Formats: sequence, structure tokens, C-alpha cells
Amino acid sequence: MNSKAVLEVEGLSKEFDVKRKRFFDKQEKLRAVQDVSLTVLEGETLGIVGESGCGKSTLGRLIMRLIEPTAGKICLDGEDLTSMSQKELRLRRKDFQMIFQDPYAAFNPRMTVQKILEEPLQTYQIPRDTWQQKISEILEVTGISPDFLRRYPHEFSGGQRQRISIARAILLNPKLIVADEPVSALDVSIQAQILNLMKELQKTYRMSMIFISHNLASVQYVSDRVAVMYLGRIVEVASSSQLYESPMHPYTQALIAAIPVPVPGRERKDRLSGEVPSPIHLPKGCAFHLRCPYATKLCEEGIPPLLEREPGHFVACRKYEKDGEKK
Amino acid sequence: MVREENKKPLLEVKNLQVEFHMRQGTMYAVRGVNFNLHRGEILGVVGESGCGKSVTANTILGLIGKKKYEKVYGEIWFHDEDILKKSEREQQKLRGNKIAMIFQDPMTALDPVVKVGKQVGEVLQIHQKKSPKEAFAQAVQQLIKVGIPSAKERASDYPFQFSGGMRQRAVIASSLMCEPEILIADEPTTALDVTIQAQILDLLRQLRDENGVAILLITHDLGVVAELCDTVAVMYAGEIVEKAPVQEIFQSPKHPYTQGLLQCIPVPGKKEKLIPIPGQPPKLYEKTPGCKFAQRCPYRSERCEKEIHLAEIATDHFVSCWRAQKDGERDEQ
Repeated sequence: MNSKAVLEVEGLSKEFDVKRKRFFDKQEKLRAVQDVSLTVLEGETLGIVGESGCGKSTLGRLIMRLIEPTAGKICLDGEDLTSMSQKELRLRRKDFQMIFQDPYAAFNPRMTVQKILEEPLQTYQIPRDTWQQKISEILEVTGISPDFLRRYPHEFSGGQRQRISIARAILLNPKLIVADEPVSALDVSIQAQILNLMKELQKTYRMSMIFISHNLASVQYVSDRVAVMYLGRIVEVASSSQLYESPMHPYTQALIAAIPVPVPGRERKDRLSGEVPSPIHLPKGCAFHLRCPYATKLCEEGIPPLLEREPGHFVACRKYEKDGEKK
Repeated sequence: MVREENKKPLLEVKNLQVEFHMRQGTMYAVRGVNFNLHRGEILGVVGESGCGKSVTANTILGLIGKKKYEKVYGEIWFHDEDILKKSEREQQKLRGNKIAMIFQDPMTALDPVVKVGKQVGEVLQIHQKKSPKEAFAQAVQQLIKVGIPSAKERASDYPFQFSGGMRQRAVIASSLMCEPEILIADEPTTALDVTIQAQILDLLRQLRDENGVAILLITHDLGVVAELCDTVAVMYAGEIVEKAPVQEIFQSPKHPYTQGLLQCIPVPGKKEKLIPIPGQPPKLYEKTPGCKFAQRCPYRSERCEKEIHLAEIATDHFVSCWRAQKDGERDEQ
């Protein structure tokens, strides 16, 4: 499949200033996202997994331009979003929309569903006579009953609210959807409904999607390709089946081994010891080497680059460095 | 874990019912729950939010039933005594001592302005009248046991200086101080990352193996259940709909709700389409005799409106479903 890239991210970084304890203390930086590059093709879903604090949500917000990057470029359809003025950006926003984790906090509680869905149409000056048709169309595909239109968000369950949130996001036919933990706040039986809905919609509308979650199983279910993040960097990118069947980075291997699988009596693999280091005082070299079972002296020197080791399978680890290959 | 037959259970919950009388009406949160917990057994209670699993746990600890609008019926037997009949003072003697609890969120379970070592040792001061110094020293020992590195120094830290996984270890340490016979863990790993979750699950398993403590594990995650539990009780709308050894639940689930739950969770490595359970869980304000799952059930028929109870369809395998019970009879003939 030779699709064109919808989103291209190059060398994206974000540093946050850490609050100083004393006035003359050195300003410390929290490096949330470091030198991240990725592409999302047309009609493709890219999953981003990682543990809390790995920078996956910051990355999502950076791509949405909800926060300003420290360095790097974000191109949507060939247009550079990072150099746009707020005014231009506002007009472009209809092409990239976000679905948030908490469907309880994502709506104005004083607006009816009708108002919620009309708002984006009004903002982008869509002719008023097409509104009703658009809204009823979107209600049908997202499985919301038309009687809901006159009701308020608090009257709905989490799953229904997430459906409304999805409806609002795809109303303007965006090219890219960023979904940040869209099912984490929902019950298991409802999660499956929403995951299936997102998969279907993505196919029908041929949207590109970035699906951010800490749950590798659900990421893998909806995504074509998956990127694994650890302490602000992408350590491995592969197709979702490749990633699960033959993970290359030791962190990905440990992550997969740690997922509790609903198969009793499964042999337990080695557990990862220790915890994620602080993103303020990052370890030297590969950020994972303190917890890595294969760590060598080499891992403390320099950050391993993300390189294609197998077709379509990128990994940032010294273990796969061939002899003679120097950084 | 093989348990001997005829062995007396440590905890017996008989026909437990919990109601909340509120302005909107009466909420029937737990509707006649029966189960036994044996020494060294890990019993998993699974279900979606609002199914009554946490209410059941809190009632065992005596945390529910004190207020005017809370009504608790049934019996909870522990060491030949009905906990529910005990006075508040007597219940307090059990709580944190013989029956301890691990809560979901380790940050809210710890007091932010008390040093971790003091908090962990506090139970000893209360239940065993130990001096603060002794209690602190024993707390340090316990913190070492649950795997906190350089525990002696860390015991003088405040909870905010601990990471999430460390906090949960500290909470577990404090629950173990009085060597409880029963540990109730309400979603102990839900707030943690997967790699940390795996470590905590290992710790719980180790505690069971070494001390023979019985664990009542409340969770919504079937993966956690498969990793840790010996027996599983599936709850729906305030009732246990299926109860069986862990292998049975996963290999031959009999209740349509259990089957549905297993089909709707994504399993890493598999890309088959998920089959969601249609509809929403029911509201808990009505008390209907029939099967609560009937509205969402693909096998619904007229008999589902009749009253249904848990029945044993195979050894140790209990189901409350007309279809499963009738089919089971047919198999036996």
C-alpha cells in the first residue's frame, strides 16, 4: 500500500521548567518528549504505548498544538503547523481533532448534545441548512439515538458520552484524529463497543489516527503500527503483529511479559525490576540501561539511534548493533 | 493450590444484602451474595463498576452499615462469630488486625503528613499496644519484606517522596503488620503501571505462599484474575452469577455474561474482532426476581423472568443461569 503521509513529525522535543526550590537554584528541565520523529500515513492508525510519565500524552498534545514544542517540526499534509500563526492554526484545526480520555470532563455541562455538535459547524461557518443533515448522519454512524439531541451530557453513561465525543471529533471530516486514552475510563464491556466503533469509523472515513494508551492489548487491537515510548523517546516502532510476535527492544519485551493475560496457568516470564527513573535527572546514554537485563558498558555512552533493523521494524538498542557499526 | 475437602472455611458470607435508602429510591447494591474463603486461597471477585464488588468488601470490614440509610442483611461468619452482629468496638478489633484491607489508590490511603514508617507501624500501637519506637522498628522490618530498597532510610520519608509502586508496597506493609488472616485487596494494581503491577502481583502471591493468608481480590481486570486467583466469582448487578476454579472460568465459562466478558477484552497477539456485550448494565433501583442479565443476553427466553439462584453444575462450578443449569442436567442424563 503506497499511501501518502498525512502527518510527519520531525525531531519534536518538549521541555518543561521545573519549579525552583530556591531563587538562585539552577533551572532544571523536565524533558517530557525528546527528539521524536514519526509519520502517519493516510488511513493508518498509529498506536503509542508507554507507562505513565513516558511522554505519550505530551506528544499527543504537541501534535494537536495544544502546547508549544521546544524544538522540532510538525507537518500536516505537507503544511508546517509549528510555524503557523494562531489565526491560521485555528482555521486548520478542523483537519485534526482530538478525543479525550475523560468523557465526563470533555463537554460543557450546560450544552445539549445538539449544541455540542453544532458548535464545530458554527465555528467553521458550515452553511446552516446542511447542519441537520450532517448531524443526523453522524448520529447514525456513531450509534447515538436522535432523541439524545435535546438531553444534557450528565444524563448519559460513560460509553454514550464517549460516542458523542467521537461524533463531535469526526463531524468535520478531519484528516487526523488524536485519541488520548479514549477507553481507559470505561468499563470493559463498553470498551469493546468503543474500540470497534473507532475501528469502523476509521475505515469508512479513511481517517488517520493516533491512538495513545497504556494498554498494549487495546493499542494493538486498533492500530496498524505501534510505537513504544520510554522516558520521552520512541524506542521501537513496528507493525502491531510484528511488535507482539517478535519484540526487539528489551523494554518492549518486558512490557509484553508484564501484561496479565486472561489465560490461567501461563508460565510467568522474568519481571522487570526497579522503576522508571525521573525524567528530570535522566540516566546517561540509553535511558533504559539501568533496568535492562542486557545492559553493557556501551549502553552508557550516547543515546542509541532508532534504526530499521528489519523491514518496517525500527528499534533503538545497542544490542542489534552490528560489528563495525559506530555511532 | 489444592485445598482439602470438608475443611472449614475461614470466612463464610451468607445471603449478604446491602441496600442504600436514598431520596431517589432504594438502591439494591448487593442482592444475596454467598461465598466462602479458605486459608491460603485467593478468591477473585470480578465485575464492572456498580456490580457491588467493592460494597461487598467494605461490608465485610464493617465499613458499611453504620449510617441510617445503609441497610445490611445476611451473615458473615469469621471464627464462629457473625461479624455483622458485633458492636463497632468489637469490629474495630478485627479491622486492620485479623482482616486487613489494601485500597486502590495508595496516595489517598496514606496520610500525607505522617512519615511512612510511623504510619505503617501505627496499627501495632493500636492493636498490640506497642510503643511508638518498637512499632517503627517493626515497620522497617516489614518494609524490607515487601521490597522497599534502603527501607531504614525511606521509613523516615513522607508518602509524597515515594513513587506509586513504592506507596502501594507501603500500604501492603501496613496491612500485614498484625499478620492478618484475611487480606482484602480492592483493585490493588489499577492505579499502577503494568510493569509495577506485575511486581505487586508477585508480592501478593508470595505473601500467600509464605504466610498462608487468604486474599479476597477485587478487580475488573480478567488478566489479573488469571494470573493470581485460585477461584473466581463473577458479579453482575449485585449478584454472583458464576463461581468456579480459575481454569474452569476461562476454559468453559457457563454464564452468558462471563462468556461475553471474555470475548470483549483485547488479548495481545490476537486480532480477532471483539464481540461487545450489547446495551448497558441495569440500574440498581429495582428489585426484580428474574435474571438481571436477561436484557443483554443473546439466549434470553421466557424462563429468564423466573427467580434464579446459583446452582452447582459441575464440581465447584456454580452458575445462576437457567440455560446453563438445564443444559447441565441434560448432559448428565
